[in-house]
Amino acid sequence: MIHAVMIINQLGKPRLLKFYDQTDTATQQSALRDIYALVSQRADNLCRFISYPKWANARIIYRRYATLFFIFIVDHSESELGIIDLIQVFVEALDRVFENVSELDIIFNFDEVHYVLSEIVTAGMASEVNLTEIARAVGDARKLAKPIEPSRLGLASFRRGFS
Amino acid sequence: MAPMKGLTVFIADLRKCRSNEEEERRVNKELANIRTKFKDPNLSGYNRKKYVCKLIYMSLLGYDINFGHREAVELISSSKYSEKQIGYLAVSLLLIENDDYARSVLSALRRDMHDPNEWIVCLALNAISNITIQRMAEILTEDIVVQLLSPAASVFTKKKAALCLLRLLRKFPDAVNAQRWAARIVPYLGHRDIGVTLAAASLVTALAQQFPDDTRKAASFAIRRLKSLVVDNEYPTDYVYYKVPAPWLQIKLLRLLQYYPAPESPELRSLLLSILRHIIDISQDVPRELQQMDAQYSILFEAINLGIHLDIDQGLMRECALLLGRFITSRETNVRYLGLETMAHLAAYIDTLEPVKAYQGVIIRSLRDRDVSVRRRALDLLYSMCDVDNARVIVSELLRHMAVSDAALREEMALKVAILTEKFATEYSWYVDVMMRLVSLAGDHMGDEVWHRIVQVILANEELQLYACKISLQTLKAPVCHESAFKVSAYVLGEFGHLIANTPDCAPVDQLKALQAKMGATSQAARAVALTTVGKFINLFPEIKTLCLRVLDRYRSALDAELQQRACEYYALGTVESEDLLPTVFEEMPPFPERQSALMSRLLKREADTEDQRTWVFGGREINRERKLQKPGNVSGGESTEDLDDAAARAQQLSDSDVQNSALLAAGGSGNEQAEAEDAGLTPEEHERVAKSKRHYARLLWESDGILYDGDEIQVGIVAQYKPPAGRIGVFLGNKSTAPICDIQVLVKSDSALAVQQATQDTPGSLLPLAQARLFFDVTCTRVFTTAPTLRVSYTVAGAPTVSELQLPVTMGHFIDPVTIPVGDFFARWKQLGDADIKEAQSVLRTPFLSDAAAVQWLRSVVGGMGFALIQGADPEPDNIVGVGIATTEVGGRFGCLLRVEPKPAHGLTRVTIRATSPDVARVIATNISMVFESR
Repeated sequence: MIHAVMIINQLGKPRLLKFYDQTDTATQQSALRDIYALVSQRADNLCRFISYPKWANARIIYRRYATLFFIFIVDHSESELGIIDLIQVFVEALDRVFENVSELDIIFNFDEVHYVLSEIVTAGMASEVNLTEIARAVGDARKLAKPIEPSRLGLASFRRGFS
Repeated sequence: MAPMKGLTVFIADLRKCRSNEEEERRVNKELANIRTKFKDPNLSGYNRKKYVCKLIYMSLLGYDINFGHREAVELISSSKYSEKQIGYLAVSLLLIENDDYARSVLSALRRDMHDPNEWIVCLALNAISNITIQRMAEILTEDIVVQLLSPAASVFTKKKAALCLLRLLRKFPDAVNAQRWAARIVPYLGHRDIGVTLAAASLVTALAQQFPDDTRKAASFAIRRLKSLVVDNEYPTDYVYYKVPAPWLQIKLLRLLQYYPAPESPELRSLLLSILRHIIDISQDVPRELQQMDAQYSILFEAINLGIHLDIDQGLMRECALLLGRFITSRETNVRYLGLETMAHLAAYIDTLEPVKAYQGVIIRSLRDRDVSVRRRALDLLYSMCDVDNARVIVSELLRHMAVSDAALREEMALKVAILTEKFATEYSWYVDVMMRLVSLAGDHMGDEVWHRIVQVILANEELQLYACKISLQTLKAPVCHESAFKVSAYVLGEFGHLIANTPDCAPVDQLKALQAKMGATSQAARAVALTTVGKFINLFPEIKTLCLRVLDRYRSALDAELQQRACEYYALGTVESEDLLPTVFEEMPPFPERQSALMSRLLKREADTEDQRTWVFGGREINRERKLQKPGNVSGGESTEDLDDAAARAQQLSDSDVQNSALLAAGGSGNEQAEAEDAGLTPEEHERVAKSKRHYARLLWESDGILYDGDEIQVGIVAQYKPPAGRIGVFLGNKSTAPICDIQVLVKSDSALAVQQATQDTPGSLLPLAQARLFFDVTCTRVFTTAPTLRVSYTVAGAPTVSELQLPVTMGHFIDPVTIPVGDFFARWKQLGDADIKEAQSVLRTPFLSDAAAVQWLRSVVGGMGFALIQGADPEPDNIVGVGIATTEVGGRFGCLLRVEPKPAHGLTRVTIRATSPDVARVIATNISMVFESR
């Protein structure tokens, strides 16, 4: 199963932490630091699998997209390449939902990133891998949660500032 | 969700912070603000949502959030979807420690599970999969099962419900009562929606491990589904990922099938094989695009894993080995990594390691791969593929890499080298050399287990001791000596220093000087060992007593309490005027009792329990077999078994002669001498002796060492080691009399089907009183044999020639290796063997002693000791024992043996049935067992 999903930027700042077992903040943060230390040192031509000795049998599987590391911590029952594919699906789904996703989208809409992830991974297991289906589910939920107070400070301004 | 201004501003604020302190100040200010706001009874839903969102964000940054749960629960109960959504997000991200909140979350979940809006139901299901409360499992399982099975529920809900159930099943297996619904989930493997099938496949994989019988049909469902995906190309285009149809589902199904044995129906079997072939064939041309290659390879690796697991097609296995050979030299690091890992799987299963050994050079080179992850896999593979033939090469390569390898890898490497060396050493000097190098190289990176183990091994093997002494002294004299090497050397010299005392440069005084020279620079723990050695020297070498006492004297005032105590005590012992005190206290250490190597337990400890069982572990075939043995039993119906009460009743009717018969059989094997004596009519004293011999013999039928004969003048002990079809028997002759025994001649006579050869040099002509001699015989079982060889020992004691003829405990039953088969398979094979021909041996034996749990445990160890793998849980009757073994002969082939022991304590009887592919083998085992029971 998938123990945890993390999005960390290249400076080690967490952008998403999702543990599929209830985990206290201290443990989460120490795992975050360890894993960032392991992942950030690795050159691009190395493989994207690392053992994580602190958790029995755990493996870190990661991909890097621009400034962000997408990291899955899984047990031995997951296929490594299957998870690599799943990360790609996750990123493509975010890209569809946010239309050309950037790190800032992920920072300011962390809740929505969780909703996207919850369509792809439920209870630590891949639940949906069809991009159309994922985008539809997230979009429908968005419609249900109609804005109560329209915000004057749109995200567009931040996005402009980012590039 | 629509962006909330306050939240956006807050996040932007935090991002502007230049230092951690600044960020912390901002967070604390906000926390104080939120606390005040939460006190306001009229807080609007929108604001509540906003503040809870801020709390979630702060927890992401690592701040411990210990309030806000009440507000989260209030949000859950809101009628607005957006508020509910945030509420559930908060309860699944913030830890629930308080029972009150858990209860209110639970009641909200219950309500939402029955909401007419499926989105709300899905929110609830999502939350359930994230929170772990035992009560939740008890209350909600039923509802979730309904959601999954109801035809009205949407595919969207079904997916989530299936994975929710999986989660509850793993967390609270007792609360969900899965057996009730397990069988009904299986047909979902054929669901038209791929998302549902994927979720169901995950759930069925977990169920398959717990309820193999209820989910028996899953294998055929999975195979057919795979066929439609792979061969018939039936799938919705939405699920095509970079030109590959639903790779995740393919992987999941291929994994699921690894929890089942190869299908028995020839149709399914050939279908499965054709699917695997198909997958392998389409992977022949490597796609250009990275994503497509990853997807295609992910399926291919899983297909190879399944092929290895099924182990039904030699051609396929060879092809897999070839593919893997290509992968481990791939330019893609991911592929190299997976290639090495999968090859370790192959090495753990394959009958002969040759196809793997063909790549030994490449694998060894992978130890130098630029990627540590790949190096680790190479180490695992080398460990798995090591055997007697390549052990030297592999161990020396590992040692060579040890010096340059990463610290993280070094400990594991050291453990593995130690285990391999011990396991495959054929020469004593090699063992000592390697281990000494190992502790010198990796001493800092390994626990005490390694040096403890070396000492244990040296103590237990007399042949090692002289050489070990020489090397120890050399180690101490070398310019640099690692601490662990120092400890081993000191210990060894203290025990056996006298063995080399007469060699030039190894005189007692040289030994002491070498020890002293290094002692100063070592740790307290090492010095403590050295002090004991000095103490032992006083006893071993009285000539250097004064020197030794001088060393001890210096440590009498050591600051460290342990050192001081040792020094004072040894000093006192050395100066006491008593003839036997010193020799008694410092007597040579007896060999350590045989136990599981601490190294193995250390290595295995690294394998903790995770959720899905592993289908294999790194290491050779034996360890994979042993591991399967230890797996908890599963429920299994198997063949409908004959009612044992019936059998017991029948047994009661059997005339006593029948039981007598087996007793006679037992006697027949326990030595001609005794058998003849029995005919002649015996005195009670002789009776007792015969019974004793029989007991000795019977014990050796399931234990590897023990006494075979214990007479007034000589004692014969046996130590046996088997690697079917070969074995080595050590015969220990001890002189128990007070006079020397001369003219000793030892001769083994055996059936032509059993080749026996004396392995050691000539038999010593004579033995002094209380001395012991050992002889080794190599035995090879060429064909099935039914008579045990005889050992004829002739000697003269006090002028009287004597001949003892003993039956050697070497039977066909000793050439059996345990084989583990899946629990569900046992009765299928049992039936097969029963149907084919009557190659069965059955006896009902009197076993009045089988009354308590300890006796049952004893029975299990007897069956295990006879070389059978106990298949726990295969027999519906928990007290019954079933086992599987395979007898190996050199030219006569191999014979599968199944055994079933049905104790019936109420009647004091036990029925033993053996079915084997050779009737002779079955008979011999039956005889052996009845002898063991007889002499218990």
